[in-house]
Amino acid sequence: MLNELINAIKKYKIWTYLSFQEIKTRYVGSYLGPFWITITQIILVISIGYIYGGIFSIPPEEYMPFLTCGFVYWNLISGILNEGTRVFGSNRNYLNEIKISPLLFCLKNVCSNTIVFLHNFLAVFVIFYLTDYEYTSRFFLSFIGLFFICINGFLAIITIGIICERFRDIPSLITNILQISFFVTPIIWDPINFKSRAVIILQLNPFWHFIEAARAPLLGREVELYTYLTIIMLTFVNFFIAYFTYKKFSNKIIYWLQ
Amino acid sequence: MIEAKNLNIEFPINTFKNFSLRKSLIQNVTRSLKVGGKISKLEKKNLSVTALSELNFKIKEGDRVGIYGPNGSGKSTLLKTIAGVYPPTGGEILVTGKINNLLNIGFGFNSEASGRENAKFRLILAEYDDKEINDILERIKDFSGLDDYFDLPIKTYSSGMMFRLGFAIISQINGDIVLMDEWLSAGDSAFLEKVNNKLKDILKTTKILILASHSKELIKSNCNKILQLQNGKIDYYGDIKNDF
Repeated sequence: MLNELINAIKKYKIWTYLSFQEIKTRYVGSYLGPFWITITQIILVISIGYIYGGIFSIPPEEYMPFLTCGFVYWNLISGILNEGTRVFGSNRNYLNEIKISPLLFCLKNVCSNTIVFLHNFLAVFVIFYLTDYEYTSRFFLSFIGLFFICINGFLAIITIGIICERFRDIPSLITNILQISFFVTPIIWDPINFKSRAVIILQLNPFWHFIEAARAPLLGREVELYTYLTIIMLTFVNFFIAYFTYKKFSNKIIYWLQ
Repeated sequence: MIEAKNLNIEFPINTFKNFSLRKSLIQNVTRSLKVGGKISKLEKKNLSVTALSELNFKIKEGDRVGIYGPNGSGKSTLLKTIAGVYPPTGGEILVTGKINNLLNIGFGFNSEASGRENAKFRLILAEYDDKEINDILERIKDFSGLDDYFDLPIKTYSSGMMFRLGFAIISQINGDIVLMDEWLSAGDSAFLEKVNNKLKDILKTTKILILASHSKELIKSNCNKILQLQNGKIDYYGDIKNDF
């Protein structure tokens, strides 16, 4: 698998071309094109910011930046995983016609979702500007989190993509898990405001750490060493699961697509 | 060169769940099949279709092989296995040389993208570098005769124009082993003549040709060997006999 992976990465022209093509196709005929992603994000954050800020009694200028940073990263994670459920099926028109590594399409998935993420990320600057939020030098550490999200997203969809082709009930299950994860991961609520025991249990949720590692630096907060160690460990686990799943089943993918 | 050793291709049928009729069905079906491969049980649990069974053959440089057989005999499956789409479920297949896959000339087209973009993507897939791509794109445009349509989304194309684009693309991509499923033909008579001439050129220069067809005439006029398939097994492989 490692050789195949290196080869697939070398063929970056193929998967980046496909990624840009996909985004272009999605917004064909639209003036603002992919900037609708940014606008949607801003509108969502402002509306939810006022409502939930009120419910949680947090001033909007504090709450909205938190919300934006959480949302942009969550959208990236859930985008990669949701599309990952059909990463092979939706590319059957290639897999079924020529000899091509299925890993290319996993890379393409992560790439196109990262492009969407970058559009989303513009909302962070807009909201920071609107709320006068201060940038700190930590800001750039956020990209360590981004890096791990992309790597783990890629590894996870190798496994998820394969399982989903074999067992057609799994895509719906994953959609459900992601929906619940959205609520149990601190995206619309800030763990700083909840010091209960439940929060400690919720830290078993792997998404927690990825979001934390990526979001905290944007907000100028410090990322705990424990969080970094957890995501490094999760990356290893994720790698081995993906490695063995792919090794055992990569030759069967095409047959399950029939 | 292409060499198959005990090559097996089995398609699992996962949607076909255990139900009581199953056993009797298998027993009845396998007895009197006129089309398709044998239907059997795979790993005790699932049903499967044996598309190719225990194939052994060698195709050398210079060979022009016609694959002949009724519907479902495994012709297309064999072509796709040689193309590397289906990994063998048993045995092995060794292919040396670059494949020129003419099985589906319009694969992977994005209807929102222009002819140029679609052609460009196919050239990227075939791993041409940027410099070559621009030259080849112009040749594709010329050959296809699509003129200004070349830069319009292909959803505006007629099926004949789509064929022009697909054929123009494959006409500019080289390979050592040409795989073809029936003779390529569509489009108007002017273009068809171009297609026939180009195809003949390609077939002349290619090291190996593998052509699947129902037509004895087509095989006789283009091939020097024949591989006859029946229910996924080789009936005959060798030179074309006079009584074929």
